[in-house]
Amino acid sequence: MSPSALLPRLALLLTLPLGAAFPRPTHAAPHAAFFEQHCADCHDADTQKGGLDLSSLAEDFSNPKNFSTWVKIHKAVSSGEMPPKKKTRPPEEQRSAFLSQLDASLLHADESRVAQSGRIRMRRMTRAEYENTLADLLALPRLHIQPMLPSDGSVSGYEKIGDGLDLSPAHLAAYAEAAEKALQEATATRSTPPPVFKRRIYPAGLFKFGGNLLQGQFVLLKDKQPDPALPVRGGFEDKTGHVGDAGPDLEERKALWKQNEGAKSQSAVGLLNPNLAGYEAAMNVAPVYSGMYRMRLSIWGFHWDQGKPVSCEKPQAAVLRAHEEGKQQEGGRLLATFSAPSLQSQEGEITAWIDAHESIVFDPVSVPWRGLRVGQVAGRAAKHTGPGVALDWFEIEGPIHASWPPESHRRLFGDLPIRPFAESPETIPPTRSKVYATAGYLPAFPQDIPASERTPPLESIHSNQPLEDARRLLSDFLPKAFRCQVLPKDVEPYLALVQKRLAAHDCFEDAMRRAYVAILTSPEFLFHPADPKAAPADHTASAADFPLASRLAYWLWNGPPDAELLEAAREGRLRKPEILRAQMDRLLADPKSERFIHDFANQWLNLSRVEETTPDKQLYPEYSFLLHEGMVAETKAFLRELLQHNLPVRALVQPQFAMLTQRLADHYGIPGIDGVHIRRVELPPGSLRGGLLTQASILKLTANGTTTTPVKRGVWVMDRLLNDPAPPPPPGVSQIDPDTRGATTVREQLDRHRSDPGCAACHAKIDPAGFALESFDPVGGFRSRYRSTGKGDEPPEKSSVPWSVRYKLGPEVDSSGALLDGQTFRGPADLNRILAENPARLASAFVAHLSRYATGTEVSYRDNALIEQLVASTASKEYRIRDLFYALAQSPLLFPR
Amino acid sequence: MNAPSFTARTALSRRHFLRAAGAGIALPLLECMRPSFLRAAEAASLTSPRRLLAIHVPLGMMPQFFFPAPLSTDAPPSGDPLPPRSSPYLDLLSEHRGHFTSFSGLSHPGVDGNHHAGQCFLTGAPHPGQPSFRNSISLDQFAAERIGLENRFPSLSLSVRNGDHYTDSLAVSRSGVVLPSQQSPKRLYRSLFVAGTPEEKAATLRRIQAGGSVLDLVMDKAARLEKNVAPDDRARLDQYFQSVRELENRLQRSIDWENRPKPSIPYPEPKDISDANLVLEKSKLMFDMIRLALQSDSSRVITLSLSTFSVVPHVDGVKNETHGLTHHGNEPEKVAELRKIEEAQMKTFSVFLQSLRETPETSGTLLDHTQVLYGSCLGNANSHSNQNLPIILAGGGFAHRGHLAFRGKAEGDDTPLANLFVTMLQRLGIETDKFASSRGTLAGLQA
Repeated sequence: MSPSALLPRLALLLTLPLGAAFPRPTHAAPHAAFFEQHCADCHDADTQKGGLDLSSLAEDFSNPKNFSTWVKIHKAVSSGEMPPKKKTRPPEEQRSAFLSQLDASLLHADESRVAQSGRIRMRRMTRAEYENTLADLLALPRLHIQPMLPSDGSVSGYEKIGDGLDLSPAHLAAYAEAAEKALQEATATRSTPPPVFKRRIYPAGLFKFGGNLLQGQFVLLKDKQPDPALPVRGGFEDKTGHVGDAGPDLEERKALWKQNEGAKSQSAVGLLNPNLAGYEAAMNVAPVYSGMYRMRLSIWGFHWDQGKPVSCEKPQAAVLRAHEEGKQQEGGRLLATFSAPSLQSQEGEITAWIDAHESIVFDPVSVPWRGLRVGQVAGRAAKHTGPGVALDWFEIEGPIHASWPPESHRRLFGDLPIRPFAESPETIPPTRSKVYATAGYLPAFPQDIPASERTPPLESIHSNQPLEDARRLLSDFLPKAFRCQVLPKDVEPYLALVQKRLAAHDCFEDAMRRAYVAILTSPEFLFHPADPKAAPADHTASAADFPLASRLAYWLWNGPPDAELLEAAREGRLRKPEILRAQMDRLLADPKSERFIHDFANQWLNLSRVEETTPDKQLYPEYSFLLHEGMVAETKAFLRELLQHNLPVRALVQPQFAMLTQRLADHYGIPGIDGVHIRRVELPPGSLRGGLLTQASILKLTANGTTTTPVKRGVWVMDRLLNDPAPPPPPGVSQIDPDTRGATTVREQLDRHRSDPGCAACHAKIDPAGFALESFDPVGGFRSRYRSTGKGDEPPEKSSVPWSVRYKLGPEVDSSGALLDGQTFRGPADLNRILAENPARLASAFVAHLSRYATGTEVSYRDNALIEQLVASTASKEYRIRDLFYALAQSPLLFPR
Repeated sequence: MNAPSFTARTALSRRHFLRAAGAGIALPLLECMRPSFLRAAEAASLTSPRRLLAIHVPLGMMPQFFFPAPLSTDAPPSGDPLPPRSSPYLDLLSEHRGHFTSFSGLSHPGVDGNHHAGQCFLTGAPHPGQPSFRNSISLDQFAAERIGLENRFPSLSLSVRNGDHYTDSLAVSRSGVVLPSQQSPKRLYRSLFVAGTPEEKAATLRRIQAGGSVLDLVMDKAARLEKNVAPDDRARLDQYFQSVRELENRLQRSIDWENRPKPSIPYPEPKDISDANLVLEKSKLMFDMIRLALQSDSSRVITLSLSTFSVVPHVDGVKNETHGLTHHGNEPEKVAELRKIEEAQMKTFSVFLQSLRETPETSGTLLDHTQVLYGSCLGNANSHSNQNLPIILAGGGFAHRGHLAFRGKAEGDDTPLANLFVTMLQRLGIETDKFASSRGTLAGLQA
């Protein structure tokens, strides 16, 4: 919408009381005249072009189907798409009169709808919200129940929108099961904390490391040099290729290794390959008890030069992962990434939640995989050159409990004592999972676990007055769970359930657990409330503000409101602009806001799709875990940076800084960045990088791993960045058959496709941005020529990169083009500049997306007008990101005022 | 159990009889157990239950190797049976000729969105991936509501996969929710065949009863809440109500089933395979479980998603991840590599069909009484097309006569895949002439 068209609407919005902002227009005849003159040729009862018959279209705006047809008509005429270019254009004043009248009718109708039934409808929690709500409510830092819940439907890319959030028996059954699991994890089953296991582990003594050292996959190091206790393995120098693990020297090495036992508790182990299949560098630690564990390690990096470690140019990197029991060979869960400086031992420390029996694995992720293990190539480590990471030692201590019973337990059972369970025929004891240790792992069962711990006595929560205690505990829990004020009578049904279960011989712990499951599957818990029916007259004492507290928290934390927020709502203070703003600042400063950054990036930018493709190994050998991790981290850190420093919206495309790790900076060709942590790096003017469109994550998720197409990237830009999604392709159109043999470019293929006038209209709008981004390959690297597996020239980087280059350089990339409005561009820098020149457009699109996430509701016609208004209010300060957050929070989009 | 069960009402229930006799599962039906209302002609074909198994391979099959080459003469009118024709992939099923039909030219009208289409394979709901998309009930769930209710599991939704990719279950509820799938053959086996100790059983029953009292409570809460919500929100609460009611029914059924013995079978409890790249071995194991579930009449309606996303299958000559290979860009090496994977999958399927044929039933074999649908909602992965889907239907008592060619969208014929579904439903004994986008039954396929 043009600014001139906006002004009268703004005036209306600002001067009239809500609900009457868009007065009923006087209408009828002018539409008919306009249609008759300009549209009837094609859209009458006979022709009905595009399925539209204006002669039978009722002016009944309260019918949702009619309403959306009218919106489409308004859009087609206001954008100039209709009447078509080859027909006579209506005189400007006729056109604008038609548009403003239709606009007024649409606004009025939409406003009436909202006034009648509210904007935000009731909806159930998403599965992420369910997990986070339980995590906060039960104080469980790493509750992981999402995989137990059915996936959520998505509307416009958002999982928070009510229309996509159906509820089925499968959901309800899964909620009950997930709640049960969370309650089990929260409840202490013993009166004393589980024993703490603490150990420093030297890698050479570990089972997996020992075998690999013997075979020569790993190398033994002492004082940053090869350790003579087990020399670097060589051999088979006359042959090339794969030589296998065996060899005449193996027995001799075994004997030597047996002799030099001492090295096992002193020497470092160097790894020259990344961790294959996830378990080669297993720490052989798998805790018996879930909990927080402190882990420390000492590592350093090197360049392996045919038998000895020498200084490497840049720090290397390694990670620790946790693998679920029985899944040691699968991906695992990342715990932390560490830098390994050149020839200098550096200690790293993390404290993280480890589930019982998860095993800890080390992985030198900066070392590229070159298709064969070092120990299996002719010459073995003695002739190998390449990066490596050495591990001096690893330490683990835990589970660490700040208090006992843990906070999670006290949330459910307060300070009731935990005592030996009194066996009686009247009461059925609670079930306990068996205590066991994983064979071959530390802690070892007979040695490290005291006998008394192997079969602990059966203990449970003790109550002398079960019903009184239950009433007290439930009364305390309910308002937090339901996120609103709860009357004493609301506790009764749950109390009755406890009573019923006790009568059925459940023990107190089990009976209470049933009541908690009931709470956590109750409609009041599962559903977010709709808009209150009418704004309460008395603003000072209104329970009606609780939904505002919830909406803020599920937006900025993707989780439930805390006590402070609920208190502000209860006292009616939350709707005061300065309090609302202060609370938003508090929420955004809390680490829980990282859940919002993560979830919003996944839904707004489709960031989770970055996981969907594995780039072709031959074409993109530089792609690695470390690069992948950096990509995802960049986009999230970028959003955080914009929000934290309240940067102007144009920074979305032209920030002049980038959030980088060492690996990502290498990938982008930005020098001087060392280490695995992400940090802000200022970029020289004219730099391509930093903004969303040139972030490797976005470029990867808009490609298929092998090739790029301007269509897919163009669709993303129009939809996600500009909130102007392209219509779906008409049914049955032929798709491009990608070809990477080096003969044709996607542009040539697409040009043939676009010569069809039926396709050209939409593609002229969709494709340009995608053409500009052709300068970037499917893993986000800059390219001036397409890589090919067939024809082409040898790439110059072949000898200088640590990975093996087997691709060729094919045809040149042409990233020039013209936008629909005629503006031409020569490449991605021009595209970013053009987009940055219209910050109002970026801001409106951003707020539309943000509002979908924050309010769980699609953006309607009237909502668009409100968005234009709130965006305009931030114009004088360059449409800053955090200002847009504040403005959205205070608009009727989030909460009726 | 409220659901009427026609065999139980009219004749001595077979299961009841088996329990009393303490017999194994492969007993033939005795004459006295036969439902009395059956006409003699029908009886022969109905003594063994009619069943449905639908298998989806999300990454499709390369059309140039799946579809038989077009005939040199003009194609006959849609749906006419053609002389036996084959293709490299169909050759791999040659020993089952006469037991399956392959199809070309079928699509789900309006089902696009490349990989998003997978969730519509059995539903035909248009435009997945679009903002306004709503899924609808899947073929298996529709059938399960009608023929599955007297079995321990009205339906089973299974998958072999590594991670979540778009959707990994084929089963979609009436309200459009994708139902979770079981990935573990071991857990499936335990639920089908392993009876707990008396203590475990008692504990399970207690858990079910406790679950029941929770449901009573929340139902009551919802009823009270409903009085206070706007009419527009009532639909959402209604879903909640219906879910609670359905769960209550299920609890009732599970109490019933908990008290009945599980069938015993001469097949040891399997171990799950954790290496995702052993996707063929995982498929074989799941196929074994499916055969056992059908044979023991634990379920009559089963779906299986066989995903090769994010795996490098252990097949000679295969080094790359499957999804990456499907974007082969027409490079001959990649096409050849992908072909090896798809052929290995086809061979695994062939072995499975063989095992169904080798399992005798009262009349004929397990395959004769099980419709096996095998196919993909992706017509061509390289171009991400959802047209001209590769489809095979085996067994189920149809007169299979080779390949049925339809002209397909490009030639102005858009015979919906759902037509085939209607034919299948009718053959299952379900009276319906409409499913999803169907416009009738499928011409050329006869019982």
